[in-house]
Amino acid sequence: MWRAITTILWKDLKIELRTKEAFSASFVFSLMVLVIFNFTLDLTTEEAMKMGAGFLWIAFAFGGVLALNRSFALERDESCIQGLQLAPVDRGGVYLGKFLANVIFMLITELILLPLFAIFFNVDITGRLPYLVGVLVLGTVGFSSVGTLFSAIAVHTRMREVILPILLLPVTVPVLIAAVETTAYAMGADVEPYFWFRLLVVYDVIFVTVSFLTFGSILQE
Amino acid sequence: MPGEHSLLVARNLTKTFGRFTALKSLSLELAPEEFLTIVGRNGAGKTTLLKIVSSIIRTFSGDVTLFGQNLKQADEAARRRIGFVSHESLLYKDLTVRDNLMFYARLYGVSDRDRRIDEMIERVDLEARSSALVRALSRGMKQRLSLARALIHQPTLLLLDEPFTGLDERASEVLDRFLSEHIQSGGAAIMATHDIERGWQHANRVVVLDRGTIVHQTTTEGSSYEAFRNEYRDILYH
Repeated sequence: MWRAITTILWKDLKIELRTKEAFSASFVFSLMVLVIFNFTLDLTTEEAMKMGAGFLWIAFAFGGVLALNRSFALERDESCIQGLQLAPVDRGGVYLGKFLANVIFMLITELILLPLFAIFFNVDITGRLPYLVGVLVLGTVGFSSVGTLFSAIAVHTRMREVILPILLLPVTVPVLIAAVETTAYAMGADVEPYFWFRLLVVYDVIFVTVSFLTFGSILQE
Repeated sequence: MPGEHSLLVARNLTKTFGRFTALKSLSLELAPEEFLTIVGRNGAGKTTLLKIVSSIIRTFSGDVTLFGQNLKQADEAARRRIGFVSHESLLYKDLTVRDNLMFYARLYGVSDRDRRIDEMIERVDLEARSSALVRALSRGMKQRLSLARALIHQPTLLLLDEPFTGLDERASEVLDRFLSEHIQSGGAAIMATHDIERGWQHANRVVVLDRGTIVHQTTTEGSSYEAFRNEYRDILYH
């Protein structure tokens, strides 16, 4: 299992470091979303703390879809996915390797976008920074856990670029709402965060486990 | 000929895709060190059979035993003994030649990986291109590298799906040499191909598949290629 996780992660990171395709697509798209919201709305600091968290997660989610689409698209070329199907490793390990790679790609984009968001919306993100980073990690883990599974499903379909967001976004509504509420709290908004924080944790545990267990049957032809 | 120690035993193997039956109650055995060539028209079921044996397809009916284990319960050790070559390379175009081999060597738990990768790169004559990205290689080079990928973990059973498709003469010679060496070193192989002459040249036994069933089979020892070619045309086209 460990061999599969580290090998898949090593391969995906190596390809991304060389091509930067997932990063550039999701970063530019997310940045455009934030820029458009910033110029369209004239928010007070108090409003920006609450609503800005929503804009931030809209940007992360749409940018994340692009990165997740890329995740299994690169396995489609030259039928590389057959190489994974043939490999003498636990298929759950293949899932975890792809999932961790997606979490890393999304987190890098998010950590670069976060200070830009603070500048655009004039929001102080340093007040509860460790909590904010923790929320980003939990939200990204939840989004990527389902996203990696659905990306593997979508790659077998003809309209794969369209299918992924159609499948993914409705299922990730709970994690996105919880992430928005806890992010707003982390940025100083007057929000009760504990229920949403617990929801984030529970969602992550459930969906990482379910995706890990079902990935084997998704991967086969 | 196959017997009680067969590497592969398939009994009443049936595979359907919706209404289409790709394999129909097919029974087949493969002996250790045997080279079996499967020929037939497009859609005869050749690729489906190879995908089932390699565990790419896991839902089918019938009994298949591979290395003495039920294929549906075959463990990682059994799957490690299979190498798969298809007309697609299964290589990542944004990784280098060496990185691709390193990826598969790690995935298959190959020990002394660097030495083994150097050895395979040398055997497929790609030393000068070991740092090149796969996207920059010619079709023939990619297929040679794909052979190195399939053999990096020294499989017992090699499965080949149209391996000569699109190969230049040099790459075909490398493939011929690899196949001969694989059998001489005690390996077995199943090759699905339209190139019946090349298939005959390597095989101990040739099977003709049509609409998911075996319609003819013959051993190559004591038979002539010309006689088989005429039989093949009679069976499939008359």
